[in-house]
Amino acid sequence: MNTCQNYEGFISGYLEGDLQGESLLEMKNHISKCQSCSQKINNIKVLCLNLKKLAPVKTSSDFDTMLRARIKLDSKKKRYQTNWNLFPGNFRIPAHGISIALIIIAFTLVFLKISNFQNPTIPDAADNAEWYSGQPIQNQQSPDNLTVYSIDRQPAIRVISHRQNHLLGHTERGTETVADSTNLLAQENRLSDLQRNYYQTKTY
Amino acid sequence: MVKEKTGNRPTDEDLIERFQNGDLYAFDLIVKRYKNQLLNFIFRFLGNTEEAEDLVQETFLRVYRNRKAYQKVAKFSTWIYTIAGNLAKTELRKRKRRRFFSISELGYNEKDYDISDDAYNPEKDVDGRMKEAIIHNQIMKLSPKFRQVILLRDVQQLSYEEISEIVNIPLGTVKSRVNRGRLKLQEKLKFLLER
Ligand SMILES: [Zn+2]
Repeated sequence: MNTCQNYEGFISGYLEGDLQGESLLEMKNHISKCQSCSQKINNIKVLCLNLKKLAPVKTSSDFDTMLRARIKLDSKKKRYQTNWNLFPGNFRIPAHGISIALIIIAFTLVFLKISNFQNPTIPDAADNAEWYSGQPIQNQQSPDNLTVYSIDRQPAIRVISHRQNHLLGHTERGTETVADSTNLLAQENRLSDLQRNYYQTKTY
Repeated sequence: MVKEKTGNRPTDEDLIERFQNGDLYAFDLIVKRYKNQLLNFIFRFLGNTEEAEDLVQETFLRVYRNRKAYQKVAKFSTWIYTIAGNLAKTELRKRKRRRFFSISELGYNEKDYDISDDAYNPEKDVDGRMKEAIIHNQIMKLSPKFRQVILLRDVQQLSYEEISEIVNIPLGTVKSRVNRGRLKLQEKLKFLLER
């Protein structure tokens, strides 16, 4: 402890009787020689007195009535929505979060609908006994290194296959066949064939 | 209410236990005991009496709602101050967000501190009330983390241990934070304190 700044950290301890032994002696010694520190200590003493004496504010006269009404209202509300209090205390899901989640869900549903519509030839896995059994229908090789995109450049096959996996209760994802082509329209035309290949070459 | 004068004053913990067992009168006593304390704490933290009163009501509502969540291992006072403190901090964050979206937002300042208000001890002379207003404004200018501990320690007169539990920081940190807060205030209020 040399400079005044080092002593500053002990002012409250000194005023509240927390300082003892060596530290206390050192502090006392410093204050007796340092005008600035002793002034600071005095100021803080006065400050604490002033803070303690700050005029208290009082609740308004209808505080209790208002509180009772509020509690009543809350109890009523609670009776109507008992099972929704998943997050007790202060935690609340921000409204924005809920909206975003809803938008994402809506988009996903719409997207899945469109994909189904755009690819009507996709074999319905549940109806396709051969595919369902995991056996290839024809001995066709799937084209390598190709990515299949629908017009809106979504990897349609991937989504649908995952969905069907899910519907069928498969836990593992099959080998995915991907295609790469520059002509999107041509791709669209080839889509159903590719998809057939895709499902046929899947292994589970 | 009567009990408080007979020297047989039930502790806060007795009251909340009675309330947990369905005694609504015990809840009324808790409200009576804490409403002004909490109002002072939140008012000095936010700088606005109406908002503060609303949050004190919200605090009691939470106590009412979550009475079963209170466990005797903690002091009741620290539990209720924790609830009030969290609500006040949340309000401060909301304000910040509002201010971000609204240029006209004034936030806390002299506007919220009406020194002519009757609540501010009318017996005090103008000089005294002016002095309080200045001190209040300097408290408001402290950052929330210093303001909170200064209010709990120097205005509410809570122990360092209680503050440590309420704010959920180690005892040593509370002590140094209080000390630094006092030094900051002292620096700003020198002109007033040295008179
Ligand atoms: Zn010094």
